[in-house]
Amino acid sequence: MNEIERIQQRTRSYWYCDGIAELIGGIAMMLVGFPMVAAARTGAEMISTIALMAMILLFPATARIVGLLKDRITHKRTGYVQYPRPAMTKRRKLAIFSVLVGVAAAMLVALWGGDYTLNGTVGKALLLGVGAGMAVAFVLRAKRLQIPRLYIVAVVAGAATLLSGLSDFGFVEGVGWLLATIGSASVITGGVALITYLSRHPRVPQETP
Amino acid sequence: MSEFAFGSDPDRVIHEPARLKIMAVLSVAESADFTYLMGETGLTRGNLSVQLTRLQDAGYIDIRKEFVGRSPRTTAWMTTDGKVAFDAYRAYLTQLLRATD
Repeated sequence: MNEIERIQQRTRSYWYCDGIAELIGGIAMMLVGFPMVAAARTGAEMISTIALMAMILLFPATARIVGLLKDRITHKRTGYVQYPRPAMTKRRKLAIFSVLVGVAAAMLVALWGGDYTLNGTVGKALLLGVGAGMAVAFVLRAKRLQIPRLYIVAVVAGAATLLSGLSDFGFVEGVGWLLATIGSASVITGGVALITYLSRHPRVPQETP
Repeated sequence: MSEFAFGSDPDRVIHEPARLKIMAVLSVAESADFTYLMGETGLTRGNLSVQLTRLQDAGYIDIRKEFVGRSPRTTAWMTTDGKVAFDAYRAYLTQLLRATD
């Protein structure tokens, strides 16, 4: 890789240089995951509602919180980079893919006896699929952006998937544990990255108007 | 046979290493501010300002100065002409490397 490619690579992965996105994303995953586990264990509808509300409210808010923290911490120290928004066609494809996955999962459950609590074999298969998908997503992101610490999160996601496959968790509890485990790993790796970043960039350069 | 002509010159505006680094950053980002460009290129404040002006005069980048809160922020982004010129420069270098292989 030559100097120009290195500059382009660093710019592409600049969003992750401070660990803030992982830290906040990890906290959001934990805040959704642990209530899911509690809801599955106790069967309390109130906790299920809390988990659902957390999922609906937290993930859109996450980007806003990350942006605010980056404004206060990162942009003042090492500058601001804005990335191109994904093309509408790409976002449309992703939305269509998500709907198709949902419909396919619902059909699979219906064909398998209609157990929508997903505590049977289909639920276990879906749980393994979700976990494996998350692990692969982290590997691909780590490889594309060349951020080694994302491999750690991928390994944790893979291990959590295997363990949840071997356990007797139902789908909801299994996904809850997956989110909580991956979230915890993200919080640790993101926290370490943030501490490292702050120790390397303690001073705030001032731009002259 | 290669179509590369040894008589042709690269784009002199982009060919200069400091400006090439700036263009490399802006080729993968929507925009970047002065602080980031200074850190990434290793240029001094004055030198970066001169190089940005040169690229802006060539029509390859646009620059906006604004205040974010109470802090000034100078942001640069590549124009369509800049993207064309950068792609052409990369094509020139690729052809040069192939021709000398």
